[in-house]
Amino acid sequence: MLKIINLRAEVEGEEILKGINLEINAGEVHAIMGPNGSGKSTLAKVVAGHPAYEVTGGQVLYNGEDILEMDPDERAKLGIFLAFQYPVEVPGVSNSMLIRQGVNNIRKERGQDEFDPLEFEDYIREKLELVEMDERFLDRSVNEGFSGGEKKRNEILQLAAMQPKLALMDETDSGLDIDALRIVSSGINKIRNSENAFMLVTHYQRILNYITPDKVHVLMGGKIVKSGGKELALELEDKGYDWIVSDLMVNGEA
Amino acid sequence: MTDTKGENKTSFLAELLNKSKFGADEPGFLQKVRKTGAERTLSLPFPTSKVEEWRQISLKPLERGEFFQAERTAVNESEISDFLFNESSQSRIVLSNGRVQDSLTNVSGLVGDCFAGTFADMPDKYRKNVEKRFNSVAQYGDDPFVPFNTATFGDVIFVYVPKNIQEKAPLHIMHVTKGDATYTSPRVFIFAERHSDITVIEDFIGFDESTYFNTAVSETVLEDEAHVTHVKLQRESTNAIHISRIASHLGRGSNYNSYTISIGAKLFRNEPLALVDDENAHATLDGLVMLRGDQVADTHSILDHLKPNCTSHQLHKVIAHDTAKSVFNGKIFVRKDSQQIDAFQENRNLLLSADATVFTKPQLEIFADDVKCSHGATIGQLSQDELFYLMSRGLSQAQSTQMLTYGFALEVIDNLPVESLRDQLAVEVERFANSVSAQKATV
Repeated sequence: MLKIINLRAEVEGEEILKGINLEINAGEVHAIMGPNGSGKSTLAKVVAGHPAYEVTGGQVLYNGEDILEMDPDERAKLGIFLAFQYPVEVPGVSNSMLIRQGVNNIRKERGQDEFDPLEFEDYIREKLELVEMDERFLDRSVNEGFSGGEKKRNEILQLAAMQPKLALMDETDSGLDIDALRIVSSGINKIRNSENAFMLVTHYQRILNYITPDKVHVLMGGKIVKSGGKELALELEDKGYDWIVSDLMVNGEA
Repeated sequence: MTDTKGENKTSFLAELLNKSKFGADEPGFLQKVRKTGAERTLSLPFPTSKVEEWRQISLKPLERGEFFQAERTAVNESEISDFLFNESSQSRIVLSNGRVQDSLTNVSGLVGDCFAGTFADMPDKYRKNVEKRFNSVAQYGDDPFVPFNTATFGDVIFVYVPKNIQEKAPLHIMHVTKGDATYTSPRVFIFAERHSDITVIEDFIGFDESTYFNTAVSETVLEDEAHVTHVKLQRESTNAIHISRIASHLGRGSNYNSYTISIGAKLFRNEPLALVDDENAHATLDGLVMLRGDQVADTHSILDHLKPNCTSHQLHKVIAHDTAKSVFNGKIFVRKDSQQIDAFQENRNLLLSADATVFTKPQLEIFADDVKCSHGATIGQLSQDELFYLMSRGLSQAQSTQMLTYGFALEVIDNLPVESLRDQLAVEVERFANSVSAQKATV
């Protein structure tokens, strides 16, 4: 589904991604772990098309097609979704207005009928239950005045509504208390199926207690320095990222 | 200012005045007031950009133009059907070129003693207060436009709400201008007695791209504990020049909410003036200005706290596109003994193009020492983070721009008390934002 080949990207002249290679198939969950400033969030944003990052080399293939020249909305319509680490507050734009427009654009792209307001209401009600959100959140301005946990749940609500093929979860777990983490994780688990794929960017192993990854990758200094199964996350939790550094040095890779 | 200079500069309004004629059949009271307006117009200098209050805009388009007193005309219902409000179907006054058009006017829905109409039709019992206060609120400094309006008004609309009357139906006063190179001087006077309540929407409508010049003046007198909401909706033709004052005088415990929504006109100058003249009163002077092309809008407001223990709120929002220009000068005075004042002022400007210009000047003059006055002014573009967020949800750049622009405007629109007014404005904002994004796509 997603194939990243030797991807390089910079922001304001500083190179952040220094040759990323990664392949994610349908039905898989990949965790991208790494210390602060390693380039994890950048990777997610570049795949989603954030205009602040300049791609200086490599390819991002989505179902075989290079998407790097596409605008963010075109990527979204193809089925790529970014759950933000810091969801943006948009005063004056109601949650339901945004989600309905997004969902309808995506449905149109897929050749499905657009929802009228009443159909949308029924549709979104189910999704609200998934993240245990009250209906009144629909009428409120997008993320405005939401608590940290509410903002993250709102991201999962949008994820559920838009039914992407590839979900890029940028530190969705950060700042969540244990209840919110449980709700967010169970939401993701319910959405997860054999047709879609998740890239889970996280600093901590904690969320992986709830969502079992198929692969774990360690990103350091703009490169993936180690990949493994779910046990790699536990090892990192145990030994910290320093262990990888010393391990790499022993092998002469750093 | 010297006499010679003054004489010279008065010429534009004086000439206009001299070539205008007014029927001698109007009530003596109005004739008398008109005369004082004419005398004052002739004695005051015409503002130039050398005068501080007029520094940022040019009145050249006005002086260069040749205007004539508008002739009587009639509008068809179909011409104004898009501008009507359901809530006001029986509380509507239509003026075409400054004269009441009876065929489209219907005020049968106003409760019992509440009056809206011309002086000649007004019950005698309201005359005393009207004669005492009419033309006593709007004049400020040596501004010549209010006197000019006074000298040249057509049918003045008097609105009188007696004691304890709560008028539920919003009064919709439509000032429709038809014709080229005309001028009209719409005038409205609202008197709200003790503990009364009314909403008045003054709606200025023009068609196509006709060129004309309007001076509009409205005055509101609020007795103790009266509540008045005044909406000024400026949707003149995009070639019109519109210069106006919205004046109010607030009594004890009264509540005055003024909203000015500006969409049209080539040159719009608006001067809200609130005299908060007794304790426990509250004044709101909010505004929303949407500009494109080479439109110019200038808001010079004065909020004068003359007595202690009062509050005020002023949120002025501007969206400027193309080469449009906006000016905001918000004066708040807190007089020496006006303690315990809580005044809020904010001016937020959204620039949608590199060539749009915004001048903003909050001006607080506080002579009391125990007050809370906050003010802020921001000028910015659409946030890249917000745009990316919306686009990552599958919204096109055009849709995202439209939604964010709408969101910016909504804060003002949301406070308006009439649903069909809010609905019409939502459409206007959408149309505005669409034209912005459509233009961007073709660049």
